[in-house]
This record gives sequence, C-alpha cells and structure tokens, in this order.
Amino acid sequence: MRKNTFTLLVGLLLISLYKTNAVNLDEKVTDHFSGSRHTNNWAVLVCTSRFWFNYRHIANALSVYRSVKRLGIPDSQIILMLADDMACNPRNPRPGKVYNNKNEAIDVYGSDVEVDYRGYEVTVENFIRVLTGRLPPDTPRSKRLNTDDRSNVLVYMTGHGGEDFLKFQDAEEIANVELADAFEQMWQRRRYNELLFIIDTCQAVSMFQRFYSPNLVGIASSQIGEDSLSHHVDPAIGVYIIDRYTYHLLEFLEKVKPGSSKTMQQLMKVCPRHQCISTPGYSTHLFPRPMNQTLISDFFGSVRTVDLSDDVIKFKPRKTSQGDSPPLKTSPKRSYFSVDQFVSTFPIIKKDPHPMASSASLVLLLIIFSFIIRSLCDFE
Amino acid sequence: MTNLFVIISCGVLLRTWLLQLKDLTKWISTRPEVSTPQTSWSRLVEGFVISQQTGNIHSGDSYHGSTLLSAFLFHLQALSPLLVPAVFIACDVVAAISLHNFAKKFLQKELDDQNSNKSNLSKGVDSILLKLHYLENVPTLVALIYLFNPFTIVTCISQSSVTFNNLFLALFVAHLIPGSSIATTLFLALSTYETFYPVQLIIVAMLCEHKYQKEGNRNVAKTLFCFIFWLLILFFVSYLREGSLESIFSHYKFILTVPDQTPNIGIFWYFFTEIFNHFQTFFLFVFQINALFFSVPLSVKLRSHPICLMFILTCIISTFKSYPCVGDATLWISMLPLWSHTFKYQRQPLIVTVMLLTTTILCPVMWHMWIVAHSANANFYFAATLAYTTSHIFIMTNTVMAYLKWHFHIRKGIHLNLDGTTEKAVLRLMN
Repeated sequence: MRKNTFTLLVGLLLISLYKTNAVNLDEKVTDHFSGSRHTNNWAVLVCTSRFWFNYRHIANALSVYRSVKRLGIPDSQIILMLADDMACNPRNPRPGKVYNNKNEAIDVYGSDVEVDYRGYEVTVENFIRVLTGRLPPDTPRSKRLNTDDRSNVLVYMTGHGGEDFLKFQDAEEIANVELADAFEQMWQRRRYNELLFIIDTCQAVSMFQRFYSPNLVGIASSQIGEDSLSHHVDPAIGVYIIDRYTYHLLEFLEKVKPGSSKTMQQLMKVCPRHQCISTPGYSTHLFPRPMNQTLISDFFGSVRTVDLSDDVIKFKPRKTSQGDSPPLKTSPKRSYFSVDQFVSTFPIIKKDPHPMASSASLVLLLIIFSFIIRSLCDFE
Repeated sequence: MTNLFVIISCGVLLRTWLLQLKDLTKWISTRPEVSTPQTSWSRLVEGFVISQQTGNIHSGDSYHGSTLLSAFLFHLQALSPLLVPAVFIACDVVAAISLHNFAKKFLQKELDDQNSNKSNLSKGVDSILLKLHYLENVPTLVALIYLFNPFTIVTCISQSSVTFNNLFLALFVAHLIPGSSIATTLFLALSTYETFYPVQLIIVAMLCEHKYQKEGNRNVAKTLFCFIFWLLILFFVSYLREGSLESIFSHYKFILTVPDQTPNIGIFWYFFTEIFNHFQTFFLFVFQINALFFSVPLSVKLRSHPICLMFILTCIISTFKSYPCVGDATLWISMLPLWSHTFKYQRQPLIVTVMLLTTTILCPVMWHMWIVAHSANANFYFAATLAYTTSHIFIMTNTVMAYLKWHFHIRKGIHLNLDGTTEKAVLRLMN
C-alpha cells in the first residue's frame, strides 16, 4: 500500500514536471517565433515640405525625432531629412525654436538636433539613395543608412501627398511604385529585418498600397480621397503647428517609456475617425508576426534582448591536426614617418647601365666644362 | 670691367639671400608661371625617388626632362646638397658674362660694318648711327638686365632647369660672332637635347658662319654636321646610361605630344582642354608647326642679319613652345639693349612695355582669383596669359621692324616723303 502510494506520488511528480517542462517548451517556442530577431534600430524621418506655411510638417518630423531619440535610438542611427527652414526663418517670432503645440512647452528643435539632409538636399534621389545605400563613396557616415539584415527600420514621412504620390519640396514627386521598389531593393540587399512605414499626408494609404516586400508594416493617416488635416493654430506664431494624426501619435508615445510592453495593435488604435476626421489605414499583410504580439519598442525604441550568464567560459587553444595551434605571430607594429621608408620595402627593379656609361658621361661633362671655361677666358 | 664685377657680385648676393628664404622659394617653385612639368625641380626630385625604385627616371609621369640633366643634378646633389643652388647661381653668372661678351662682339662688328660701308650711307643720318658710347654702355646693360630681371631671379631660386637652357643658349650666342662652329654647335645641341625647339637656331649658326667667318675658312656644311655629331654623342651617352631607346626620347615625346594640360603661361593648355579628342592630333600638328615654321620665312628675310634672326627666333621659341615659363623670356629681354640705337623707330614702345609689366602682374592675380578665391575661372587666367603672350609678340615684332627700318633709313636718309623728297611738313594755321 505504502509502496503503491509512493510510486503514485513519484509518478504524479514526474508527470507534473514533464507537463511543466512541456509548458515551458511551448512558451519558449512561441516566444521564439513571436519575439523580434532584430539587434539594432534605425529611423528615417523625412519631411518633404519647405516654406513657412508648412511649419506643421517640420514640427511633425521633429516631434517624431524627439520621441524616437527619447526612446533610445541614437543620432548616429537616425537619418533626419528636413528642409530646416523654420527655426531660422525670418518670419519665425521664436528664432531658433520650433514648437509642436500652442502651449510652446517643448522646443523640438533645440540645440542638439542633428539634421542629416537639409534644405535642397531633401530630394527623391537622395531619399532613395539613402534607403538603398547607393551613395557616392565620399558620403559621410552620418548620411548613410548603415543597416543590416538584423536592423528594424522606422520610416516616417510627412508633407503634401496625393493619390499614388508624395510631393518633395515643390519640385518633384515620389511615386508609390518607386517607394515599393526601393523597399524591395532594401529587402534584396538585406538592409532591414522589419520595417514600419508611417505616413502623415493627404491620401496617405495610396503610398503603401503597392508594397510587396516581406516584413513591412504600413500606417497611414488618411484613406484615398481623404485629406489629413492639421490640428491647431498657434496664434503667437501664426501658422498651423501640428497635424492631427501626428498630434495623437505623440500623445500616445508620451506614455511610452523605454522597455514598454505596449503593442502595435494599441498603436493602430491611435487617432480614430472622430479624432482625426480622416480614417487611418493600416497594412499588415506582409508582416509575419501578429500585431498584438509585436512591441512598439521593436521600432520606436532601441531595446535589445540580452542574456545574462554567470557562467565562466574558458577558451582553449584550438587543436589542429598538426598539434596545437601555433602562438599568434604578430608582426611588430611599425609606424612609418615618410613615404620613402615605406617605399623602401618594395622590390627594387634595377636596370644595369652600360659599364661605360659613367665614364662616357664624365668625359662629356669635362668637354662641356672646358668649352665653358674657354668661352669665359676669351672675354676681354 | 669693374662695373661687370660689381653687377655680378650684387646678383650673386641677391640670389643667395633669396635662396635662404625657404618660404619664398617654396611658394615660387609651385607657381605655374615659373615651373612647368618639364622644368620643375620638385618633379626632378620625385623622379629621383622613382628611379631608385624602378630604375627609370621617366616612369611614373613625373619627370619630363632629359636623362643627362637629371643624372648630372643627381650626382651633384649626392656630392653635397649645397652645391645645387650654387650651380644654379653659377649658371646665371656665366650666362650673364657670355651675354656681355656677345654684346661687345656684336656691337663691335656692327660698328665695323657701319664704318666700312660709309659710302652707302646717306647724308644727315649721323644722329641715328651706331656710336662708340653704345659699345661702352650696352654690354654692361645687357648683363645687368639679365642678372636683375625678376624673371631670371625667380627661375634661379626655384631651381628650374630653364636656367641651364638659358646658359646653353647664352653660350651659343657668345660663340656665334667669331664663328667657332664646334663650340656653337655643342651648346646648341645641348639646348636642343633638353628642349626640342632651339633646333631652328641651326639656321642662325649656319648664317653666322657664312657672314662672320673669313672667305677661306667658311664651311657651312661643317656647322650642320658638327651639330648632328654633338646631338648623336649626347643621345649615345644617355642611351649608355638608360639602356633603352624609348626612355631617352621620352622627354621629346612629352614636348611634342603635350599630354599634360596643367595651366601655364603658354597657349597650348587652354585649347587642348576643350577640343574634342577627334581633332587633337590635327591641332597638335598645327600648334607645333606654328612654333617651328616661322624660321623659314624669317631666315629668308633676315639672311644678312643673322643675329636679328636669332633674336626673333628666340622670342618665337619662348612664346610658342609647348610648356613656356617666364624664364624663357629672360634671354631675349636682356638682348633688347643691343638694338637700343633703333628704338627711335619702334611703334608705341611705352604701351607695349607697360603691357608686358601689367600682364606679368595680372597673371598671378588671376591665378589667385581662379584657384584660391574661386571667384574667377580658367578664362580669366588664360586671358591674362594671352595678353602676356601678345605683349611678347608686339615687342619682338617692334624690335625687328625697328631694326629693319633703321637699316633702310641709314641708307635712304631720315626724313622722307613718299615721292623720295626730303621736305618737312608745313603746318598752316587758320589764324
């Protein structure tokens, strides 16, 4: 009887352990497939308008810039493309400052803003070159999108748009097919792991309708046929100061801290129709993970999963077939101070001159000298 | 004599003082007006380093001068680095002395000619005749102008190989008058070996041999053969040194095909930067023929005045060669006083002289505005150098024209009307 109970208890214990293990395994498998596999975060923030009356677009882009920076992406991994003609505009009554709210509480420009492409550098060509990486070799690192296949990229665009196009600085347009092709080029060159594309313009949904590359999420502020509207005027500055969608996006992001567990599904509830007047649109069919399990910090922050271990790992020397690997032969580090020191390590190809050469040239030199002296002497 | 000694010592002192101002020498050596790809000292030094690696001084498109000159300067520098500037100063001094000698002999010969042909001269021309005081002043003036010409000084302190070219040409002219054809042709061969264009001056050597040598000793063909002989010796010695035919002619190839279009004070670079490749060979021929061909008609016209021919050919060479610099001009500028007795017949000498001075100052200004300040472009610089070239042309044509007019007037008289009468013009006023 006791033996039976004992066996039963042990069996139950074993079964419960097994079940726990199974549960752990299930969780592990699910976690593995729903967690993101990115190791670094980048952001490309583009404002495609210039001139004073488009103040709100610059404020949009700068506000998202500030949020993204606050949540952890460093300036070296943010490409900010602005016309940058607001802060020092002669019509700006707050010189050097750009505000996104009429309470003028936050200066989104500040003294530490790093605009990578300013003024007339914000062109369709430069934007596509940044995305695809096909830049001239002398482009500085701050202007390059040095992403790899483990980078999550946030692309935020704002400005004036239309059906199937986005206007760049009153001079040119980017078409939705061009944008889709640019993202495909990025995918083929493994320049992103996952990409979140947010666009706050009129008829914004048309811009992501032609996407066909994997791992893309699109969020747009208005449907085709609708206009994205601006939020409010700052009477002290005299222009509309922020757009509706971005205003509500910022409201949402204010509550997000680094390491937050808010999901993309909550992001997609931002600015419903009664607040935005336009209907936001979403594109998630190219994204493998479910939205309720994708964290916003996968795109807006720079959080990485880190495994801490207390184990001590000893590295043994590598055993090759010839025995132990030989000790590393580091050549002594030499610094060269002039070219000829370095050049002297080249093999010297010397042609042997004719043995009579030096004597012949010496004889010639003597003849010339004698004639010169003779001509000097018969002076007078 | 003492005058000459004072002038020479002042010239030497000036050059030694300027040579030890390292910043000035460094800056002047980089100026395009002074150093060309063919003559620059820094290119020679680079050529030395390259020759130590690859054995051939011409590989690497750096040094484009002749082999023997580079060998001479290399061994000189190996002996002592101080010897090199000393040799450049010595070249200037020897050239000045040779020009002084030449001026003396030339003016003596002209005076003798004039005195022996007194019967041919018309009456009343005494005021414009060559006189003895010219013989005393002009040679010293020639040496003075050569030594203290800013162009010469600048060429000397930048250690450009034009100094050697000027030395050889000065020695060539010094031997022209008595007509020692071996010495003449040796120095002409040396100058031709370094830069190709003085080959035209062999005509001068032959004409001088014909004019100044006594009847019995005259042998014009000997001049030509001596010249070819010396050239062959020079190329043979450089072939012995280099060991390949291609490298001993590579500097000729550089001069004649003009591959390098860095701006200089000449007329080639601007044109060749803008023509289509299709026409490049054609215009290369045109420009080179332009530099060489003037010798033919001029020799025919000036066959009895070979020294004048030498002067104008030197001017043409220094203006139309493929890589000129200001050092090329010093030789004939210093020979201008030889014709001081004919200056009366020059047209607008003041304007032309001021044009030369102004354009000399304008060229570095335009360079600065183009390259440093970015507020001008190549056209500005080329315009300034074109004006400089034009002033050269005006001076040379003026001088030769004046000389020929002088010869005409001493035979026909000073004041002439179109119908040959010698009346003065009478001005009738209304009141």
